[in-house]
Amino acid sequence: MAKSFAAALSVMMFSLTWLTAQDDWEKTRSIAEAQHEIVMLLIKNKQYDKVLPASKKIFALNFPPAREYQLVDHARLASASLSDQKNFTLAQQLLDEALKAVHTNKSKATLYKEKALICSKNGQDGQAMKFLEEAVRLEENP
Amino acid sequence: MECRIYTESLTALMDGELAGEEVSTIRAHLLVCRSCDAEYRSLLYSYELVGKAQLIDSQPSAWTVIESRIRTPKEDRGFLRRFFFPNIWVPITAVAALVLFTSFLFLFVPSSDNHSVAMRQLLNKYVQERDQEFGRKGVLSTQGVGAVRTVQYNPFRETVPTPKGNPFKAE
Repeated sequence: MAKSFAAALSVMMFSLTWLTAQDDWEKTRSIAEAQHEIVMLLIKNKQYDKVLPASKKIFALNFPPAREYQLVDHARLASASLSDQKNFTLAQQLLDEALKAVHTNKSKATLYKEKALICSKNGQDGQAMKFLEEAVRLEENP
Repeated sequence: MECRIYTESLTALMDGELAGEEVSTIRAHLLVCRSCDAEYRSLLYSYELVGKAQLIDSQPSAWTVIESRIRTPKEDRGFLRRFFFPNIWVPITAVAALVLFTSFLFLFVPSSDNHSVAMRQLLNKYVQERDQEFGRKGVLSTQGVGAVRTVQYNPFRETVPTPKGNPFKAE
């Protein structure tokens, strides 16, 4: 009887922890989703001074490694929009912030490639080469 | 001492240049002297080998050409040429070595151009992959290569599965 009770209690505790974690993740995801929209709107409206602080709020959220690709996607989309508007400096700064927030080499390699692409668009071929070399180095050591 | 006289006459004997008396004397000596007989047989063998060799008939004009080239002195080369190229093979070898070295550099040492081409290809591949990825996610590329237009895509949005059938239908 006591064993069954202990087992049931363990299951309940586990479920509660899982549900709490799910709830926490949902909250994080929801904030990131809204914040991404804000960042894209700020870029669209050319309010560049507010872009980086808004984006940093996303990077400050504690994303698990399995969800890092979402951070990478956000950084790529935002930097691509900035790059389309010829604001290459801010695009690079945003990618630098993203690089601080991600942990896996795959994510970092993708961000370095994006940096290389922006450099290439800006005519900085030498710098683009350096970023690409860094991306290749990271991909070779996953 | 006696043997030395006979061995010196052996070639004359073989060429048939000796008188009848001398021939008899030498042949008598060869019968009693082993070393002279061995020398005679050795010479005889050499004569046979020479006799078997085929002679090449050369044209009479060839000798004239050879003789004229022997007698003609070398052309007088200039001071600079003599100073820098005392031997014609020196510049030829130097040029050959230079060509080989340059070929080695081109073939085995990756040049910065090749490197940049490889990096350019890598970047193009990344752009293609990214365009495909964003294309699948609904980010349209309308502003040239590598450009994206962010429409209806939020990387943090969870896709809610559409319920199958009618959700209000009674079980």
